[in-house]
Amino acid sequence: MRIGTYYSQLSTTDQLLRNQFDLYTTQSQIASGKKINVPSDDPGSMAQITTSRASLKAEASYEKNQVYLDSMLRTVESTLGAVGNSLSTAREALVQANNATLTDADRNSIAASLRQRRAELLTQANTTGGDGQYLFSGFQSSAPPFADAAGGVVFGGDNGTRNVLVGPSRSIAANADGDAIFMNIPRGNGVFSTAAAATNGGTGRIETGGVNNPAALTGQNYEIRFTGPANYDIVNTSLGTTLSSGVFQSGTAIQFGGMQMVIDGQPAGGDIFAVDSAATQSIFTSLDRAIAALETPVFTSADRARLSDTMRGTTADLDQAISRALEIRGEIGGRMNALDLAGNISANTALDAGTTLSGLEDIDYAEASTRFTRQKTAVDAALAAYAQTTRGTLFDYLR
Amino acid sequence: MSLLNVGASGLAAAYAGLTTAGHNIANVNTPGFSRQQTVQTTMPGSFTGAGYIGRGVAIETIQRAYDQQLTNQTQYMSGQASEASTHHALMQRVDRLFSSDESGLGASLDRFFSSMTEASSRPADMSARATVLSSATQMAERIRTTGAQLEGFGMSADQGIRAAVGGINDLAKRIGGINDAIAVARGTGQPPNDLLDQRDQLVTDLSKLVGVNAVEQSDGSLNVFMSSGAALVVGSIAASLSVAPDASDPGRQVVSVNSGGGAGVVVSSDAISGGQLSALMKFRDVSLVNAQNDLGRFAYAIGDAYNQVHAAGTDLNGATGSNMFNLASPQSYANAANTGGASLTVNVANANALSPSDYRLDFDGSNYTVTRERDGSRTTSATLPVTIDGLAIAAAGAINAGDSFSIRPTRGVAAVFTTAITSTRQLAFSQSAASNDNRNALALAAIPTGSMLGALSVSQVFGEMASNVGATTRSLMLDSDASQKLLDQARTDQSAVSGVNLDEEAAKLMRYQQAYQASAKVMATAQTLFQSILELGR
Repeated sequence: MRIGTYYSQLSTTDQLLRNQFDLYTTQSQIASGKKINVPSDDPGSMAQITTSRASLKAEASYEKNQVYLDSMLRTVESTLGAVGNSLSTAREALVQANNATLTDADRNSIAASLRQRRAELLTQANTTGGDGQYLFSGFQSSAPPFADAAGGVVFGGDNGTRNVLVGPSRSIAANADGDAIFMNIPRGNGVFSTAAAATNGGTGRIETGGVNNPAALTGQNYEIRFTGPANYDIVNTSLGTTLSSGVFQSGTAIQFGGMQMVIDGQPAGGDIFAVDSAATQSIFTSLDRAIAALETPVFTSADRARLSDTMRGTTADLDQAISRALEIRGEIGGRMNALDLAGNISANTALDAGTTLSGLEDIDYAEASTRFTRQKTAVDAALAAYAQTTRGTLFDYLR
Repeated sequence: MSLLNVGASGLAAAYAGLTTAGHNIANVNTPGFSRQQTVQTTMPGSFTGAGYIGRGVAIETIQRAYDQQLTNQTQYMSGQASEASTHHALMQRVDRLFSSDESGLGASLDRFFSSMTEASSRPADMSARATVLSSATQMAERIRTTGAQLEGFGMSADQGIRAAVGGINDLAKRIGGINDAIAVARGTGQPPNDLLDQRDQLVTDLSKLVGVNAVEQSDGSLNVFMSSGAALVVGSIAASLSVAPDASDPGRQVVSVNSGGGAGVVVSSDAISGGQLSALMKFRDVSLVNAQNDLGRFAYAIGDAYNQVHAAGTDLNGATGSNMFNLASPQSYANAANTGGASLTVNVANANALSPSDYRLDFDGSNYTVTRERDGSRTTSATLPVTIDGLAIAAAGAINAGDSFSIRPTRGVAAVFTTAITSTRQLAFSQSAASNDNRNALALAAIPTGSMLGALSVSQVFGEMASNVGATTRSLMLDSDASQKLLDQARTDQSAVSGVNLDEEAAKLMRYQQAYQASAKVMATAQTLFQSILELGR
């Protein structure tokens, strides 16, 4: 086998250049810490790399959304807490106002404190979150959702639920329905409400009552009409029919349509007690009615009975509002738990994606430095061999 | 007297040997040089009664150390290695465009998706809206730049093709010229070694531009054919290649061979193999087109997905969402040779059904055949319009039998991909015009997690696209390495036969020097003998 001097030197140099290129590649991998810089470095892993990278980026934005949602939910939660406190304070005032020993002046001062509670509640209803948006306005945001108008407070928002993405196809609502919290509160015991008519002449007072047979509830409105001090008719006002008649006995429950309630005191003939189903009323209207009743002077026992009935009815209405606020706070608490869970899921997903990405992309330093040493040795050896083999020919020995 | 002649013949032979060795040493670094050696033979002896007495030595010829088969092998492998390394180098540029780093296309997509996710929770926040708009613009710009760079690669490939064609024409002419010179030189009865070496080297150089077969004729001239079968050089006549616009696609340049009058024959990229020309054509017509179509289809599908969801929403001005992105319609060209005047109208009917392929529509007089060029699958229909792979293809005007059309559904999409909205108020995040209504923003933010092309998510489709480019580049790299190794082997083999070894030449120099000195001594001896005879007569 002959060796062509020219080509053997040429191919040795080529090989040397290739060894140096490999060495350079390894060196730049060690410097950047990445073994994949362009798709051809590992085409089979590209799909996994892009999805992992996308997943990392996406989880980072979900985590930002979670931080935002957390602050929103905390604000809603604390606002609802404040609403509950205002309502409880108002309720205590109402209980206090029902005391027969109070004078008109005492009641006026209670009415004044109720006005303060009403103002507090209106401010709370128009609370804004950290981003300046109203908490209870639904999708509307340009103006305060609750406005004090001539006929009472009106709600200008809507019941839009603003969902926040906290994960791929997972979202949690950020706001609470202002209408449900402040405006649309069921009255009485939540199923029906009772009230004495303003025109009643007797001292009969009706209690809030309760449901004794849920299956028999009709959802219709009734009136208990006293035809005399001892007799009453039960009239279904929704249908305009008289359901039954009864003999009145103070303190004994009257039952019809699955409901039962007690009237005590002494109603007069012509007195009417309304039993309305499914009626709702705003917190503000309830307070407005209590304030109006407290500011009306009491002269007769019938006046007292009317006041007492209003105080009792409003207390029941506020109880409903308090329980509504509690219920929504509970629901917000549930969302916060879901948010914590979403946070854990995000963190795990991001960790998984990061680990996958790192495994695919990042260089194994132990392997790389071994490879570097090996290639360095090869280059050194090739250099030494090149120097040796090209050093001399036979010509050097011809003298 | 004959002794003097014997010495002189030895002197001449040794001198020829020394000159030849010197020629070899002088050409030790000449590419394509084959070492030469003198072929000596004994002169027939002169008859005497005592038998034949030697008359010295004669130089029969100067031979080059040569193996036709090894030379052909080296030429062939030069073409293959040059094609593979050229194609690989071209494809590496595409490969880098799809790199996965922070400045890459993939990262700009992820930033756009993230901005939408974050803005969806705060639809009334103008700064979040502004981030969406700017990241959408950046994403569109990345797609556009990538598309434009791919188009630029196509244009530089066209330039490369022109340069290669120029080089091929030049080399073919020179081979034709040398063929002539060799035929003349052969008339002397001795091989013109250095011309033959030069011609072999020219064929090797030509192989690096385009793969050829060289066939030696009995008169010593070499006929050269491209692998498509077209003759480049026949005897002293060289054909010429020319570059002209394609009849089926005015934006594309095709190479045709003109061998002596008549219309040129178009050389298609799959008919030739080896050399830069083949690499440039295969890169431009296959690898690059695939990448452009992949990117165009991806851009169209993304743009269309956002446009559709956006159109279902309401913007801050209370108007129905307009298009978020501008999308280029599919392009179609009537073949320049068509006899009917029809033009095609191609629209995208379903962006998620698009395939990353070009199409050709042929009419044979009764049926329309649509060929998907990436895999060659055909669909035949007796009437138009026809819907294939999400494309609605309709024609206006007369179509005659034999007419054909090219359809490029997605190739041009990326290079003109822009955002259509200009103001943050135009982002249709709501379904009711209320500023805190984020229902449509949620739908927009959900697009990346939903499925699009082939039921894959956006990042999967992007990964698939990058993986296609990477796989092509990698297999070209392996091809390039393998053909380089084979070329090295072929060169080593050839060099073992034809290469100059300086040690060997040094040994020859010594040998011939000694022979020269010895022959000189023979002549000196003859001189002395002659003197002795002269002295006898004194």
